[in-house]
Amino acid sequence: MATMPKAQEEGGLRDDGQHRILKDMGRERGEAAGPRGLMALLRGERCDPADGVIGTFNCSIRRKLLLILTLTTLLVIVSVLALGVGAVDIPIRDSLKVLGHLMFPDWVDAPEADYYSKIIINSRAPRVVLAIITGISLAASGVVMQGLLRNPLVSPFTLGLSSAASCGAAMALVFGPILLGATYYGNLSFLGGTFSHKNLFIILMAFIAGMSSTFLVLAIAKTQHLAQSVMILSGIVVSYLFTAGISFMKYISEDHTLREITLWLMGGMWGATWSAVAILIPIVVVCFILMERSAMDINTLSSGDDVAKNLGVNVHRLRISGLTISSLMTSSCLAFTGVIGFVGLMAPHICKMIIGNDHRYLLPASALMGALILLVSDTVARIVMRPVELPVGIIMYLIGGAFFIWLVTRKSGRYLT
Amino acid sequence: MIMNVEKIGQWYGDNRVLDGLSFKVESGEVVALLGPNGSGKSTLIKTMCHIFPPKAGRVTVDGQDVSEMDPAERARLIGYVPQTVQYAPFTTVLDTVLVGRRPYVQWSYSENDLKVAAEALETMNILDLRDRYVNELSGGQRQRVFIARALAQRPHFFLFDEPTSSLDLRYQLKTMRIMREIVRRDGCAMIVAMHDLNLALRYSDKVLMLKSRDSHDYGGPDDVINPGSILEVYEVHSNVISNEQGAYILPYE
Repeated sequence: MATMPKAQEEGGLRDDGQHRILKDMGRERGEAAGPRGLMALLRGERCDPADGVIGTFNCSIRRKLLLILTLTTLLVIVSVLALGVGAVDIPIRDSLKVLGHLMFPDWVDAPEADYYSKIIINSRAPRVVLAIITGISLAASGVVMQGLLRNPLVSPFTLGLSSAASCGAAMALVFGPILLGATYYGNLSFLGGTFSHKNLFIILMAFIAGMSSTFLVLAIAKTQHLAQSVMILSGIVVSYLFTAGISFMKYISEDHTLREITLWLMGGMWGATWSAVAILIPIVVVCFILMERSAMDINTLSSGDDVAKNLGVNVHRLRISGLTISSLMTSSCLAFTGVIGFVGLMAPHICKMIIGNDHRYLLPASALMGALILLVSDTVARIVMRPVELPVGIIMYLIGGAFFIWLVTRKSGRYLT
Repeated sequence: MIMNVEKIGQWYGDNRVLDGLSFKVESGEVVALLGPNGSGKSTLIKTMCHIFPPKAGRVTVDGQDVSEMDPAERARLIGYVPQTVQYAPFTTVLDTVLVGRRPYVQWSYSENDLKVAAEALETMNILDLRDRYVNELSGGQRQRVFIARALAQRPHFFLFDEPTSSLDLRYQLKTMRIMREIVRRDGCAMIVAMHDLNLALRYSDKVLMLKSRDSHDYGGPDDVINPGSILEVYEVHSNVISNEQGAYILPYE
């Protein structure tokens, strides 16, 4: 008799594997981990690393959420400040009034000087928004590319995508009028907005060139089993190829086209108009959602292709679709801004150092960080030699180059193999 | 459950690695996979867990073709630990182990996932390392992280590709013992590629020894591992020495 309970207990333990698996699956739909509610988590409930795995887990989630919240707040503050500074200084009170009046016309009065509204709405706001969108896409693409290729040094810039997209844009500027004739100067009305054929053609060409550069680099690196150094080298080579293309376009172009191309290459926010923003926002939002959806699968890739495949991830499809999405996102932004380097490298790395490599949180955090970096840099570019505006690309090259050197020479972390 | 490997063939270009290999693994068994370098151990493991779909033949579990399963269902059935671990910088041990829950999870981990991960960490004695980055760990610790990841996956068949290659003596024995205990307790099965004949002799229920691409021995460890087969496969002479701890192989040239 005394052995009965023991046998039952053992029976429970020895439950055959299939049953256990099914039980696990049933429990999946159960309660989510951690304390109930976002606020409880942010207050730090059940968030002590000494409190076992759950404590560690909650603690890391809290750190991730806090970073995202901090970055969001900073981005809002910097945006408002950026609206105020420039060739004409606008007091913060008045910047806020303009925004308030725009959103709640009944409650908030417009500022007394009505040219404030015009400056902000027509010139500075689209520029701020474009900087934010571009920062988001470059940084998010950087995260996705680094995750997909398991290479900490890849980004839209280091893979040659930036030069390729610019080359595509230059080709559109040079060949557009020849190929499309009068249509080139026409407009397309869509969803209540008007988009110039010229801009759409530039995006298309930038996208095609950007995609082809990504896949060219992949094709070269694949012959060496995606070795990290080979990938960086082929990125450099491919970007030279497209730079040659850009030089050729410049050589054969007329004066006004030449100027447009040159501005592109420096990378700046001159292309900022509400119609540019209207084209970009849907592209960026859709691409970002698609990226976030594949974040879990990208996490599995960090343990290697074989482990990811074993976990049921279609690695090949994930890689192709992820690279396509990030190329689309960046090249369409770059079509308006020109070459902007290193944001896609800096933002993800800073965030990884703070919150680690979980792409579900790393993606939004890096996107916000990228937006913040680019917005600050663009604002600095606007005021450093006031009233002359510098191209933000120049500033990004300076900061980004220094960051890259630091990243490669860093003692701890063992980046390159 | 029975995993049935039916006449599988696998080749890279002109290089045939496996040709018409058949055997089966039943629940509750630890199968050691032996063979010299290049005999196809890793290829066999990867073919069985469908990382390389077989070019000929098929792998079935209880009659169902593994290739035709839903990928997530397959992942809940078969778990894999690679020979060399790969990792990205700034990934914590806990995050790496939680990745093993991917087949059960859409977007966020449940309390149960954390419990399973904690159990896996505890089993591999790396609970204290949970908040460390994988790239900061030693080779042996890293390998234990990856075994823990496979444990968190809770598959029915564990396929291990030399899981003990960078572990020290203590953890080689401990890992094999723990894995055998898990197999006994949960009634799952484990196929483990290895080089250490003595570990195979001590911890496995069956041994599959790959001799050449179309011949192999399959049976109990004492039947398969003997001086004759060792000489044939590895071209090394050896003695079998028995004492109260069991038999062990002493190779000599």
